[in-house]
Amino acid sequence: MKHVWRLVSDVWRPAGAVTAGGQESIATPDARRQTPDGAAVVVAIVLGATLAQALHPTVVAAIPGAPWNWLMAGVPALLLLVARWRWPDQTVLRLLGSSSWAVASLLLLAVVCVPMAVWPTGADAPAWLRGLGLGEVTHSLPFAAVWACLVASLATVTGLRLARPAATRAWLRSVAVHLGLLIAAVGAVAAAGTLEKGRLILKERGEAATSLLHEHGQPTPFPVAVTLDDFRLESFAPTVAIAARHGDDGTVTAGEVLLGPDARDTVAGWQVTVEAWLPACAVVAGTPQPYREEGAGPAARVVAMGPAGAVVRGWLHAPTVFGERLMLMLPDQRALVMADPRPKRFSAAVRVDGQPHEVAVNQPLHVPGWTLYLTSYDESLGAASNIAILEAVRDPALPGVYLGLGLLLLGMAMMLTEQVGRRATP
Amino acid sequence: MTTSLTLIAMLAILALWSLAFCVEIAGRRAPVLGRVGAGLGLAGLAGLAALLTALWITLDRPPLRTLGETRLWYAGLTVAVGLLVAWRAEAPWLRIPMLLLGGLFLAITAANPATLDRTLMPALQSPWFVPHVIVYLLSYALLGLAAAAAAWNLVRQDDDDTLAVHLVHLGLPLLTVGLVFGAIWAKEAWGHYWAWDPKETWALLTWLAYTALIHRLHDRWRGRPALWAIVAAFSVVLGCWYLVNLLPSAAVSVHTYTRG
Repeated sequence: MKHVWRLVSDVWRPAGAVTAGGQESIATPDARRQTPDGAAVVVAIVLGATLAQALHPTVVAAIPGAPWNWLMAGVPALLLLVARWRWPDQTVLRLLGSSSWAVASLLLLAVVCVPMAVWPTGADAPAWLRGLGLGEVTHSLPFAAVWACLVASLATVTGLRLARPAATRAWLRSVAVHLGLLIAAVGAVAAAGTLEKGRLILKERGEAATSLLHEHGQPTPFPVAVTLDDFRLESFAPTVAIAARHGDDGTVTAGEVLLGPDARDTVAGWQVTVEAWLPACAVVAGTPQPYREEGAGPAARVVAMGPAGAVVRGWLHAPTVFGERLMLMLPDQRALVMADPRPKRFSAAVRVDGQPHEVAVNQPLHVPGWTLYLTSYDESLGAASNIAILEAVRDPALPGVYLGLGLLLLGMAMMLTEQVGRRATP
Repeated sequence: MTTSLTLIAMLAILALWSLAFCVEIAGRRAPVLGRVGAGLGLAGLAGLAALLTALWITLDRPPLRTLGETRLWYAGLTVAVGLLVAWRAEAPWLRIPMLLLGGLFLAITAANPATLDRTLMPALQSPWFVPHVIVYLLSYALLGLAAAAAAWNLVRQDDDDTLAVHLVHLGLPLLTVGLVFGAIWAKEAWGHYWAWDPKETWALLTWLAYTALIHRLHDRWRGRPALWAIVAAFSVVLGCWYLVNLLPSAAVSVHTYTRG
């Protein structure tokens, strides 16, 4: 271990370094003058990659998976090791470890990400963006180039810090932040290359799902058999709303006044009183009838008194598989409607190799090597859905990413406590 | 608690803060008036805390879902943090930009009263919801206060950036914590800690901008350029918070529950 540490230290120890806690410089003033400006080099690299991408937009297709992802992380590390022996005067380390390299990498990563922040990506991306090969920015050459620049910076700074341990809080904070980010950045790239995911579409009391469905490509075998016993959806209490239009050609989601037995409240100047309440109904010939079945929604017979003394009376019902929308037309061409029910919670009782389990949103199910997430159901049927859609994810690089994020949080906590204890007086 | 009652409460708090602002301006050279201004600011803050508590109880969910609700928190956190930092750093002048910023966000909320409802979609029903949003809003409050302090100094032709830089150093760690909490929550809810959703991308842009800024500040980059950069960096925060909802990318965002 001692020999390994010495080897690592030797690789990273710059000649003629000046140490100052966690903020050390690795160059004499003369040497600094001879080092090219980090920002200029990063800009040149990323511009070159952008030009190459624009000239060959189809290159984008080759980048998504391994081995490109590994190269994005591995090439900078390899270059650093080569540079240490090839240029022993530390020019390359000074360049990659410089603040201007780091700042340029950070800002250019932000610039490269702007198309994703402004426009939809993938198939929904604007044609001109796809024409430039930037429809999937994260799979493009400029993104790979700037990511590599950032990883190179993090690796250099981390290496320089580790090569000169200092018993100071600043050193520890700097190592935690830079090493954490390095591990997270490399881990994220590794994760993109090793992540496996697919969908399991389960039908109540249907056949067991034993293969994963993918957006592109053939289904692949799933190691366990999953069946759906029951899908459950609970909705929030219904509300009443004034629809700006007639409400029959779109969803109505806004509603402040709660509906329920004997409810009485005011919405947009109309005093609404519930006269009769059916917790579950089917609409037959325009009239709600009690009907207790999964997927049936409530109906309310209301009387509404308007500001000018107008009175309207009738049934309100939000559309379900058992009936259409019922609403009350108001004199001003608006309508009083029951807002569409909003799901409060949905869950699925499943069996994995015969063993019963529950899976819900924010409550994933862990099976050997995989995690199952409940993502959707048949939304056209609402609570009557007998289908649950699970996403199965296998992410072997996750512990690495979390380790990096943990170190980053440690460094940030140190930074915060230092600042809280400091009085910012000039 | 109805929308109209909430509006009345907001207007009352706004009146208190407006009065506090006038007193602070009038008493810039009179410490007694300064203390009165701080007291009025504190009274408004207590009122806002009571309003948020009442909303939390009556809505039966954390009032952190809509843009309007987050603006209420933001206004309160800005004034709370501002009062604390102004006292700790012995910089009473900070209360003036603090009241301007807090009052502005409260006024925007009062001018656009959102419909209050009790619904909270399943993805938001998580133990991560409250810490993720509050840590983010606290960081936004600190970074907003940094920008307000920097702008105030630029207006006064004062190149002292000590307080603004200090606030940025407080805001960035919390911004990072909010980002990491969001990633862990996304993994728990959707299976992916990072999906390049437009909101996530904007959050990354914000973090990158402030991280680059901190690096430059560590390079002894100070004075007016630093003050201008601190003001400019806050525009990225506003992009992440508001602009993202207006862009074409919003159509594919899973963070659409923040509208309203």
